[in-house]
Amino acid sequence: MKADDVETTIRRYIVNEIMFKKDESVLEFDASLLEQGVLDSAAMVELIAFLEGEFGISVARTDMVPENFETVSSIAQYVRSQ
Amino acid sequence: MDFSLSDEQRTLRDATLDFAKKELQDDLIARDRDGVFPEDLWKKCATFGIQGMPFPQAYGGGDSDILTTVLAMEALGYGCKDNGLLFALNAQMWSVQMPIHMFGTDEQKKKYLTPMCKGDLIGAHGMSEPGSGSDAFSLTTTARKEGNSYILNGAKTFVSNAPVADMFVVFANTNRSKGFMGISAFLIDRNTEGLQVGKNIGKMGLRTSPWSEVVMEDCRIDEGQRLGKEGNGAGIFEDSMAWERSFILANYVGGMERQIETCITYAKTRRQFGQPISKFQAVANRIVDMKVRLETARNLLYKVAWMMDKGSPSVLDAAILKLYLSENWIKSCMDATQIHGGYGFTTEYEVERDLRDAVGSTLYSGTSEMQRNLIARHLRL
Repeated sequence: MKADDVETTIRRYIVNEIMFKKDESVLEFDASLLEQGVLDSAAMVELIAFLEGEFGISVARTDMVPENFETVSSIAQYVRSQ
Repeated sequence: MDFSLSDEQRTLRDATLDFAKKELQDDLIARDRDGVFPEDLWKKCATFGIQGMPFPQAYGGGDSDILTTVLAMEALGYGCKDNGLLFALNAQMWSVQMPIHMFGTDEQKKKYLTPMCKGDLIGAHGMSEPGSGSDAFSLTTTARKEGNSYILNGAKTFVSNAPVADMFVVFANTNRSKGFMGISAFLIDRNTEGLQVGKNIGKMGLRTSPWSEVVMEDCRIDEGQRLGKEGNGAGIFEDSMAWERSFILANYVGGMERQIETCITYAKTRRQFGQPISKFQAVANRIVDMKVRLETARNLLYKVAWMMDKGSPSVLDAAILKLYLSENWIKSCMDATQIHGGYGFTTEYEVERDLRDAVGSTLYSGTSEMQRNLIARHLRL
């Protein structure tokens, strides 16, 4: 998977499955998912399951911090670092 | 698939059963009536190795794997009728000791985990607040950074063990703008200025396990008392809930087995219409249903423990276990009461106490409704 595809795949999942919208452009890569309330604790459980299944990584609970999950870009960066 | 237990597991289970039958017996009817926490039994459990069982030897633990620990907890539930004591032990092990073990520094582990394994320190976990229960992350307690300190303000409620606790794991907002990821976890000593522990709150069951409110008013703690990274509180809470959800009810599998044996003995002894009541299908079928619940719950429990040991915990399986075991423990307690008839309603027969104790199991560590929500999400509903 290309580097840019990671961002696109994560954004598509969040827009479609968490925000329940179709138009992916509603979510900027650097928009704060936490401050805008897009990502709550219940959605986080789903997102982690998605990231682990899609990218074959394991998300440690110690990694559940804002630096890793603030934006689509930071999530993608975290995925690449695993 | 191998369902057999190792010699080591059988030995520890049998030793725990023997310990519980000999050492954890007292006048429970009176203690339950008066709501008295058994400090002496707590200490005996620590000396035997219960509190330290799954934790590293370096911190006073027994280094047992999770399945072995669960087998011991099941044996404890069979041999000890004090569900309140067992609840208090589990509350500390899974939601206080485990997060310190998983997220704490070496210094924090030496200060808290080691004495808790030895029974010299009692810990409590403070998450629920008067306005936030199932919606746990909507908590309003704050922790304001000031130099190398945090100043905590807020109130926690339904804090199990609080009246007898020496320290507390408390969750507070350090950055509200980050939502649930603005929450951090802290370790607070009971004698910290600004921390007040309320009186025991009376409840329907589990009366020998005290709980209360904990209020923090300008409660200043050193930065070194933060557990994990700032903003990692949700991760720490989710982790401790995964342990608690999975194993806080392990004792009840042993309790269900004890209950079935009690019912069989009673049904074979009690005679009505010229024969033992066990000969009536209406009675026998209740006991059969209790047995089916026991065996299915036990398999779920062992599976979740096995998955933990394999390093592949499952939120889905843990939620199914918590939901199934709690609801079926209540059903079995109802059946045991019904089988004993009027005697089951009396305090003397000690059947009604299990029922009162059981009701809370669908409420604490995530209500049945929340477990169903979790399962539904995993089914992508």
